[in-house]
Amino acid sequence: MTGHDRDSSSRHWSHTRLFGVHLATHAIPDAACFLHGGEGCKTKSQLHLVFNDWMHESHNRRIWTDIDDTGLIRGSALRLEQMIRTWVPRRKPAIAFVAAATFLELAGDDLDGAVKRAAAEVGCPVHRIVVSAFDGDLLDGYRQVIDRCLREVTWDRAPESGINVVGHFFDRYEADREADLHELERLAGGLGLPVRSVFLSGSPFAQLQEAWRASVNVVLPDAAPLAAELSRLSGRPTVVTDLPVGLHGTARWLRSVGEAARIDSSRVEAFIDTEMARAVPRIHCLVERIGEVDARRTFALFSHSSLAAALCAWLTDMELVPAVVGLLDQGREEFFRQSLGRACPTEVPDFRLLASPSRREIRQTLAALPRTPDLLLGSSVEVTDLADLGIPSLEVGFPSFARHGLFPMPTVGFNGALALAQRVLDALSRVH
Amino acid sequence: MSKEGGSSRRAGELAQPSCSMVGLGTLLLETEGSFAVVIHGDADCINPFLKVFPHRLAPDVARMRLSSDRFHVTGLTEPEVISGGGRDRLLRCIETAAEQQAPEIVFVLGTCLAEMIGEDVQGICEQAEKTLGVPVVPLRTGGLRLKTQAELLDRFGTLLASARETTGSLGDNDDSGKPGTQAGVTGLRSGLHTVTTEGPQAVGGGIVLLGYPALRPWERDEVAGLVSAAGGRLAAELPARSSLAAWRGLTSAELVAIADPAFWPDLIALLERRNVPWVELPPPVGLEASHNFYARLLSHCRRGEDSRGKLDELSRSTRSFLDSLPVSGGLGLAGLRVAYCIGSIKNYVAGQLAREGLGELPALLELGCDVEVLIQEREDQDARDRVRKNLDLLGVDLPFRNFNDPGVLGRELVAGKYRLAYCQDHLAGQARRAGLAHVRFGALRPGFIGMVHNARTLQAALSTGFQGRYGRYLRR
Repeated sequence: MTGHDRDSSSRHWSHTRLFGVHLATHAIPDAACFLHGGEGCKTKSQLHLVFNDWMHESHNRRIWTDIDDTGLIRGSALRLEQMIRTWVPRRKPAIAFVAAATFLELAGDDLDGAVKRAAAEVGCPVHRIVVSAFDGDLLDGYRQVIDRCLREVTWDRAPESGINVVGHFFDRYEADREADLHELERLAGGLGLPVRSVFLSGSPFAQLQEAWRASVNVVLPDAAPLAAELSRLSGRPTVVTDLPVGLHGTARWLRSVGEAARIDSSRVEAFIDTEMARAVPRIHCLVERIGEVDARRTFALFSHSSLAAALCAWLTDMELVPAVVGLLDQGREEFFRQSLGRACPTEVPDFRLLASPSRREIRQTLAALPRTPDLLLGSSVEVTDLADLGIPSLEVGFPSFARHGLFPMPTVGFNGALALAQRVLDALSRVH
Repeated sequence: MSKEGGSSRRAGELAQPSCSMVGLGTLLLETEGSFAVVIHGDADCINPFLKVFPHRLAPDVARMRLSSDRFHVTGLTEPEVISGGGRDRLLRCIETAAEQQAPEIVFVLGTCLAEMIGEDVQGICEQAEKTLGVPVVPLRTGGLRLKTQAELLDRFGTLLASARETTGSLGDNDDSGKPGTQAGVTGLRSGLHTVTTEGPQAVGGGIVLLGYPALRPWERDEVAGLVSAAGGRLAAELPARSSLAAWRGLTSAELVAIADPAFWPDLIALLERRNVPWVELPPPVGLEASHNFYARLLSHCRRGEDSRGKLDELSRSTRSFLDSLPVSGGLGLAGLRVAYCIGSIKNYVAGQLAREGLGELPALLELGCDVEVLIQEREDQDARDRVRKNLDLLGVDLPFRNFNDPGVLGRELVAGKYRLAYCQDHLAGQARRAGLAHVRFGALRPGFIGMVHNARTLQAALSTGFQGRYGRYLRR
């Protein structure tokens, strides 16, 4: 939300790179995050995780430098250096990241030097990540942490087998996200490929460092900008895919992975067929009841671009019709269009596309629709903001404050396709 | 515990300090009324207010919408910061907020970035006010000068209570400064901090509770019922149920009952300038505390004596219930080792911060618990001295332990051989790992009906509730 060109009310993904670093560190249970900022910067980031993740506290792995006016005037680098020297031995993290608030980046202190001096002594990798509220969003910060983790892998060992998955958005240690990881493993296992490391997944740093064992890197769309460098760095084939969501999207993902890993296509197709045979009849029970040709159900969807494209494709595949899609991240409209085109096996009817909309813009757009959508999918923010419209709603993506994963229901894979169909049925039936 | 709360205390010393932008913004977020908030800073500074749940107040607070969509941010860009384009950006943002919301007032919050570049927020607001014809109130805030949460609450209350009329201007300081007059106090007696006089200004504003926990409906029924029986009226709870209208009505209250006067020096000065009577009444958490609270509150009402019988009956029946509690078989609370954790709170909830968070202590002591105070604070002697001084001023002579970080609380909980931790949610993991039952900070409730709830809450945590039945599986 760096350019408030249209209006100044909060956008949903107002979160900047700083929070992305915070969130990514949360996804590595033995990582520490030094947040070099003022007292108020704690609230910007910590608050949102507290309500998003019921299962795993993150504040004990955050170290805040709490710079005040005196610290700013005298220079804050020394305090940062001292904090790293003090707290790394206390917390004993496997890896540490350092991010500074925008006003401290602007102050021009030698933060690089401070981190380098401290890192040389503390006995664990310490990475300074330059973040700024002036550009980028939390996905960028998240990806910066993945980039640093990939650089900590010893790639010069001979690969064994299997895949790494890079760019998985892991925001909480709840059963829904664990189910996604299990489904990824199950899908890869269907091709005979072990999953070595998932960046990021709630796995300890040492497990991420096992990435050298994999022979192929599978890069999900939010980490796509890292692919070329990862290919060079690792010396392994690296394939960029869309998210494995929905029947068609999952089948495409399996084919891409299989091809990159040189798995016999007949094996890939056999696995896909088996899974389709299991899932399709069940999903058809729903589709045949909601998908009348002349009376299609419509939906409004708000999520970050990669997930929005995948979900929009799967819902369209289930013969629902998009009315509005809002992309909550920044500057990825073109990616969204291309990804949707790839992921959807059928023509997608025209719909209203909102790029990084404000909350006000979303409300106005929905109010102006000739017909209220039958279904609303969005983060906690949209679902709550629009609750008074009475639209059956599914909370998807981040943040997810109301829906929490007590029981495993994935979003990805064939099981994710079934789970989403179940949620659509429940929502449309208004029976949960 | 002291009945007076230690008037020489510097309130808030034992809680977490705060960024004033986040603090005042949070309090505005939870205030009903026609206003907009503009934050002048980088885009990240709106994120403390991207809240969509009334997650920390009483269960019935769903009625109070947390309107974070009233918040706007200038989202300064790097060129604007460097080349001085912030002025235009702020003006445009204020105009947008005024155009979109048609608010009665626009509050403008500063940030670290605005402070660092020396933005003339005051001048910009004056210009915007002239152009728009809407009060635009600059609040010099930011995270570079830490404030106690008490200071921020006092500043916030004074700011909103000093509004002179619905569309009148607001400022950080009340500028009336003149002895006011007070009317509509026929239901009150003397013996208050301000002697009331008849006059044309106020209009019988009832009793306002200042700085207490937000009452749940059944708790409010108890308070309102007793007050009504005494010929009074419960008018408002501030800042627990905050609205511009309620704050504006504060200076016409018949009586303001204050949980912790050390919290509110500026606001009390305003009340005194306006001749609004106020009285210190420590939070009514616990049987004796409730009885004392009501007895003193009702004594200021016109027919206080009439409600005496009702008060005594409530007190007797609650005592009877507490006496009936099993004392054996693991259900007894007598001698229960309790860790009462303070110093980690940063939620701007006056009802939890009052008396340094120790407002619920009497309830535990009354139930016979063996309580120690654990304080998130440095472990050096200076810090220990400061803690001791504060506890002494509050009349708390219990032993205490300092823990310098939430991550090491578990170690202290094990060392103290406690069975139950009364602490904030974000410390619950430490309690569970240490094998302790956990009761969420703020779960101990006020009033007689609250005391029944309190005994049941503790028993549920220990044995009769889900946590009690399955607690051994919660260590993780």
